[in-house]
Amino acid sequence: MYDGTKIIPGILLFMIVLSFPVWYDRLNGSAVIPDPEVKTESKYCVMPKEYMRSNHMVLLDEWRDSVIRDGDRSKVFAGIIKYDKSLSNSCMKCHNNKKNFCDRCHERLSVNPTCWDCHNLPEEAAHAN
Amino acid sequence: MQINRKEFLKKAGIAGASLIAGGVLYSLFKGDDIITAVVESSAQTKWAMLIDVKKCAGKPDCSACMTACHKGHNVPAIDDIRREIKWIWKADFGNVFPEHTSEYMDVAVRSQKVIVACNQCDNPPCVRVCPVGATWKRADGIVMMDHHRCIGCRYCMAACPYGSRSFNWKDPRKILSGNDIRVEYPVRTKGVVEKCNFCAERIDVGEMPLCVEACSEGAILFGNVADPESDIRRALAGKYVLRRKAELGTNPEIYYLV
Repeated sequence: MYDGTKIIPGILLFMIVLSFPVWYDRLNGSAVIPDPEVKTESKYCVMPKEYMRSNHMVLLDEWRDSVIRDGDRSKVFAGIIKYDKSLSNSCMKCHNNKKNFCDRCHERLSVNPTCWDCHNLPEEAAHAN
Repeated sequence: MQINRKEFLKKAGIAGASLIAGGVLYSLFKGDDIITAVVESSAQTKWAMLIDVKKCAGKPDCSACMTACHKGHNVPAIDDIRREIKWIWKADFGNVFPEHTSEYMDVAVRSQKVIVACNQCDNPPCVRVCPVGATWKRADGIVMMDHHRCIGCRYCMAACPYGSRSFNWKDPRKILSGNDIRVEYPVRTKGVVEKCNFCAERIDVGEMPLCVEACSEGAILFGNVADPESDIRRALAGKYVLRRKAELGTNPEIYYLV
């Protein structure tokens, strides 16, 4: 083989770089599955946990369109509680810590929703940040 | 199973055609849930405002309505007139009603302050020019803004003959200090246009607009002009009232008693 001294280390180096995700993961332990913190006294959410995990953004979009476009500010019933269709005034009353709730999943999934560019965090969290 | 070329082409053709037909039917029945059309007034409700300029002039230093509105809607105070954001403000009579001002009018009269805000036009030019449907007229006459959709092109600002719209040149959070932000109402973001919304968020739950509530002189009367029995209709019935630049055909819904 011509230039074997260059080709073989080259191939080896290439394989090491190629397998980076595999050995990096092994060395650092497997990735942590996010565990969003729910700190609330209320036992009732507007939808089951499984639905909210995968579809909360759809629900929020529907709320937004019905409130702003249609002017429909009717309440949403969840168990015995009535909620406004509002991110700041309903969702974040219970899930009041954006860092430990929203961001944990969003960061892992590398999604950057722009909700909080305008919508405010509940007071305690707003002061903490 | 043996299949010859002719059979294969036939079957593949039928399968392909039914797939396309299915797709077309699906998209036809699925419909489009994005609302872009301007909702025409059903004339059940039409909100309007009557501002009593005389009552207002009795207290020249008062700014209760403006403070209440700007605080309630997280409107930042910016001194630079090219960058300022206004929902409700005071302007000289001569500038608000140039067509009702003559050159011999007393300076004191001409410079008397008049409260102005978005006129919630019945025929809003801003709505006609918005390329993305971010501003539109509700069935009850309120010209709404959907800041989620605004792309900041400022066509509406060019179209508005009253200068009622303001553009966010900066992130308003940087101007409003943390404790001044009213959590319940969102702030805007850099690059969107905003204006008075007749307190749609309060009207929808049966409350009066903030400026009306804040006025201690009762200078602002708010009500449903589609209802002949309403207070505002009774007030409008026997009075000579002005509207800003009514000759343009925008049909403003803010009336002025002078």
